[in-house]
Amino acid sequence: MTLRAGALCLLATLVSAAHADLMLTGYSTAGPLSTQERIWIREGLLRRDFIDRGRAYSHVFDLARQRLALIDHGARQVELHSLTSLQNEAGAGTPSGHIKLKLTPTGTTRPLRHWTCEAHQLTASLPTRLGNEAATFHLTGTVWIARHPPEQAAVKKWVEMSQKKDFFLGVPAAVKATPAQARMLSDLVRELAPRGLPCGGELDARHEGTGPLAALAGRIPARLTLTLHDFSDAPLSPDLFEVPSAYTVRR
Amino acid sequence: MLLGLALLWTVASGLFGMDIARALKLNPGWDAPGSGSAIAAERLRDELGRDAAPVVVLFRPTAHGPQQVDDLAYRLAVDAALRPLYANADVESVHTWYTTGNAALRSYDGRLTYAVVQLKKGPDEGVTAYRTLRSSLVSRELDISLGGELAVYVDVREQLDHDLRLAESVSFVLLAVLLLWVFRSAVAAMLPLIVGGVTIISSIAWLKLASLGTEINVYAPNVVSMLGLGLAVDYSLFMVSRFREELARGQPQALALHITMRTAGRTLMFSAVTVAASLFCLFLLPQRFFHNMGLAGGISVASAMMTTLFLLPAMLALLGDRVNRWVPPFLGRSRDTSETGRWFRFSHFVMRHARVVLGVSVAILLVLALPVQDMKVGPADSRSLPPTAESRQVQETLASRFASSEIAPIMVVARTRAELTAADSLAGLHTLSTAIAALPDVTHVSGLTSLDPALTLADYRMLFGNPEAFPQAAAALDEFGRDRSTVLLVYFSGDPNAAAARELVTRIRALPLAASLEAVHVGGYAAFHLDYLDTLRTHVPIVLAAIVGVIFVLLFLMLGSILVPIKVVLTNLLSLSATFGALVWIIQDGNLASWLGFTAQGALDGTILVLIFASAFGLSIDYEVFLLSRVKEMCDATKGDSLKSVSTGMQQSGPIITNAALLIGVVLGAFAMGEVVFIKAIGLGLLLSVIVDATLVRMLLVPATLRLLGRLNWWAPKPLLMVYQRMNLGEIEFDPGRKP
Repeated sequence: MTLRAGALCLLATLVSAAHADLMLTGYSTAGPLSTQERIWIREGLLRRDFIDRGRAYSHVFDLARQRLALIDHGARQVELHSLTSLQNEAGAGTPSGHIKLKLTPTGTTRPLRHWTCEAHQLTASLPTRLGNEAATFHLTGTVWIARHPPEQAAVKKWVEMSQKKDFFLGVPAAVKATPAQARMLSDLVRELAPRGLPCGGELDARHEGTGPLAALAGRIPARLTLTLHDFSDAPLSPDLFEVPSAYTVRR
Repeated sequence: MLLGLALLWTVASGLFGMDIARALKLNPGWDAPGSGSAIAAERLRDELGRDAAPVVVLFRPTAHGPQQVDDLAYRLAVDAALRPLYANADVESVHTWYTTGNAALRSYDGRLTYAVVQLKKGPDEGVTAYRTLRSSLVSRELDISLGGELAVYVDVREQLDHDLRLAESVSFVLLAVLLLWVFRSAVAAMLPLIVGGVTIISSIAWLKLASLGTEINVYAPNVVSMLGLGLAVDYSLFMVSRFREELARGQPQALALHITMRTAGRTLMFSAVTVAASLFCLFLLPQRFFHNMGLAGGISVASAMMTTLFLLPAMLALLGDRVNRWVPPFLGRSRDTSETGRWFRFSHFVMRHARVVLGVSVAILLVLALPVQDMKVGPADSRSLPPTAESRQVQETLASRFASSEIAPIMVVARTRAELTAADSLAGLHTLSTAIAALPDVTHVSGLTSLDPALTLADYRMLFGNPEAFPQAAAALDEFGRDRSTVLLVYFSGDPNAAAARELVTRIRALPLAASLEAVHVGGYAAFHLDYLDTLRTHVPIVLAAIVGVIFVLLFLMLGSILVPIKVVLTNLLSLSATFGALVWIIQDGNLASWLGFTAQGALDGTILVLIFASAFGLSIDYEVFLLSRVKEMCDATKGDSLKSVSTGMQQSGPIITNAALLIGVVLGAFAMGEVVFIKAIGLGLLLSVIVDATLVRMLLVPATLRLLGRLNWWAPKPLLMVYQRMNLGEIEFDPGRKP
C-alpha cells in the first residue's frame, strides 16, 4: 500500500506548467486491490482522495508550507506532518546512490476525452535496503502522458514548486517501511512533472539482490496501475485543501 | 378497590412496557454455549475485535442504467452509491468486486454485483448504523437492495411487529363476536376481552422487566401475546361460565363467586401450573433462545392466571346479576343445558362402540402422523420471511446468480502457544491452512499463511520475520491477527445452509492439531448450525422426558390415578405426532402454502418442534383435565358407574371445552396468519393440536378408553393414593349431586 501511494503520486503528478486548478478522477490498483482515485491540484497544493477497504482517506500536500495532512474521514481524524522531516527521515534510511531513470516513447497513443495520451516505457531503479541486505528497487512499465493539453496551464505553479530541492511527496508509512522507494518516487515526480499531464500507467515494482529477502521480495509480484477516466480544470474551492474543522487534529 | 388497583397496574404496566422493542435483542440466542462455534464467536469478538455481521449491498441494473458490471459506468454508479459509506464512522470496511477482484462478488452473467459492508458493531448495537446505512444508499442508475444476517434480523423484527399488531387486532374482533355468541350477553362477553387485554399488557411489562436482567429476543412478545391472550380468554370462559351457572341455580352472588373460585379457579390454576411446568422444561436446553421462550411462556401463563384469579372475580363481584345483561335479540335462544343432551347421547354412542371408536380414532391419528417419517429437521433460513422481504430476495439472488457466498465463510480461530510470528506458530498455522485448503468444496483460504499460493512456509517465516521490509506482512497481521490469536477464513462452494457445509465443518474439526497451536475453534454460519442441531439431538430427548414426567406427576396429583395419566401421556404423544405430521405436510412440503401465504421450507426448524411440543403438551392437558375432573366427580358420586360418569362428564364439559377450543383456536389462527414462518408454524401447530384434542381425543379417544378401562381408570397403589389424598389438586365440589 505504501509503495502504491508513492507510485500513484508519481503518476498523478506528471504535470506541466500554467496556473488555475485541475481535478483528475480514476481508479488505481495494487495487486488484486483496487480503489477510486481523485486528485486535485491548486497552485502548491495537491490533494489525493482514495478508498482503502471501504474507508475514505485524503492526503493533502501543501508544498508552500511543507506540510502534509493525513485525513481519516471515517474516524474524523487528521494527522499533520512536516514534509521536511519526512524527507530527512527518508534520506537517513536509504543508502547513498542516485535514481536511474529512462523514459522512452513507444509511439502508441490512446484518447482521454480530447487529450491524446502517449505511451512511454519507464525504467527506473534505485539502490535500497531490505532488512540488512543491499538491493536495487526497480520500477518498469508504461506511463501514459498527454503532452501540452490546454489544462496544463492549470498546474504551472505546482510544477515550479516540484523542481525545488526540498520537494518531497512521501507519506509517513512509506517513509518508515520503504524509505528508498519514498525518496525515489519523489525524485521521479520531480523528473517527470514538466513533461505533461498523466492519463494512467501500468507499472511493475520489484527488488533485485543476492540475499534471501531480496529473493523473496522478487517473488512477490507488485503491479501498480492507474487509469484516469476524467479530468476538469474548473476552479476548486480553497476549502478542499483545508483541514476539516470538525475533525480531531494530531500533530 | 381491587379494580382501582388493577386499573392503576394496567396503566403503569402499559407505560412501562410500551417501548419494549428497544429492550429486545435481535440475535435470537441460538448459540449453544460451550460449543465450538460459540467459543469461536467469543474469541473473534474478544481477542480479534470481530463482532460485526456483514451487510450485503446488492446492485442490479435498471432499464435505463448500465447493464454490465464491467462497464465503467456501472462501477461509477456503484462507487457513487457507496460513497456515503466511506466516511461513515460505523463502517469497518467495504469490499466490492472492483476493489478486491474477487469473482464471487460478480454474478455469473456479469449483470449483478454486491458489496460486503462490515459494520463496527454487532447485531443489536448495529441496528441504528444499519438503518442509517440503508437510508444513505441511493442510486438513479442501479437498483439497490440489502441482505445479510443483520438485514434478516431487522426484517424479521419489523415483520414480527406488523404481524403482532395484526394478530391482536384480528383476535380481539373475532373473539368479541364469538364471545357474544357463546355468552349471549355483551357484558359477559366483554369480561374475557378485558382479562385478555390486561394479560397482554402485564405480560409485556413483565417481559421488559425480565429484559433488564437477561437478554430477551424479538420473538418473545409474539409468544407472550399468543399464549397470554389465548389462555386468558379460555380461563375467563371457564370462570364466567361457572359464575353464571351458579347464579342461574339461584345461588347468592357471594356464594356463586366463592364456588366459582373453589372449582373453576382451582382447575385453571392447575392448568396454568401444567402449561408453565411444561414450558419451564425448556430451560433444560442450553440455548438462550429456549430460555427466552420458556420465560415468555411462563410469564404469559402466570399473567393470564393472575389476571383471571384477581381481576375477573373483582369484576364479577361488581357486576353480579348484571353479568347477563345486554342480550342481543338475535342471540336470545337458550342453549342445550339438559343433563342428557347431545353430548351425553354422543358419548353413549362412543362407549357402546368403544373398541371400534378407539381403533378408528387411533387409525386416523396414525394416518395424520404418517408424514412424520419424512420429517427433516434443519436450520431456519431466509425463506421463513415473506417472499416480499428485501433480505430474503437478496439471499435468493445470491444463491441463484452467484458462484459462492462470500458473506458466510467458515471462521477458524486459532491460538498459538508462542507469538503468532514465531517459526513454530507459523508452521502450525501453515499446516492447518494447507490441510483446510485441500478439503473438498474449499475454494480458498484467507489467513496469515495463505497470502499467496506461491509462498512456502520458509517464505512466510521470512516475511513475518521482517515486517519492516514487507508491508504486506504488517497488513496481514493487522487484518488477521492479534497477540496469539488469528483467524483463517475458509471460503467454500455451495450453500452455507446445506448439509455439505456442515460436513466441511466436521472435517475441519477432525484435522490434527499441530503442537504449536494451543487451541483451534471452528465458527461461522455453518459451524453454528452444526452445533445447534447437535445440541438439539442431545438435549431434546431429555427435555421431552422431563415434560412427560412433570405432566404425569401433576396429573396423578390431580386425579389420583396411575393409568389415566399414562393414557393421557400416550394420547398426547399420539395427538402431537398427528400435529407434527400435519406440519410436515404443510410447512415442510408446502401443501396449502399458497393458501396460507408462505414458501415450502423443505425442513422443519427444530426450535419450532420443541416449542410446539412444550406448549401443546401443556395446553392439550387442559381439556382432558377439565373433562376428566368432571368424570372423576361423577365416578365418585355414582360409585364407579363408568357409563354414566363419562356421559355426564362429557355433557357437563362438552360445550365449555368446545367453546374454549374455538376461542383459543381463533387466537392461534390469527397468529398463524403472520408472515414470519417461525410464528406461523407455532400458531398453526398449536391450532392443529387444539383441534385434534378438542375433537378426536376429547370426543372419541377419551370416552372410549375410559369405558374400556372401567374401574381400572382410578386405580393407584395404596402408598401413592396416600400421597394423592394428602396433596389432592383436584377440583373441590360443593354439592356433588349438582351440575358443576
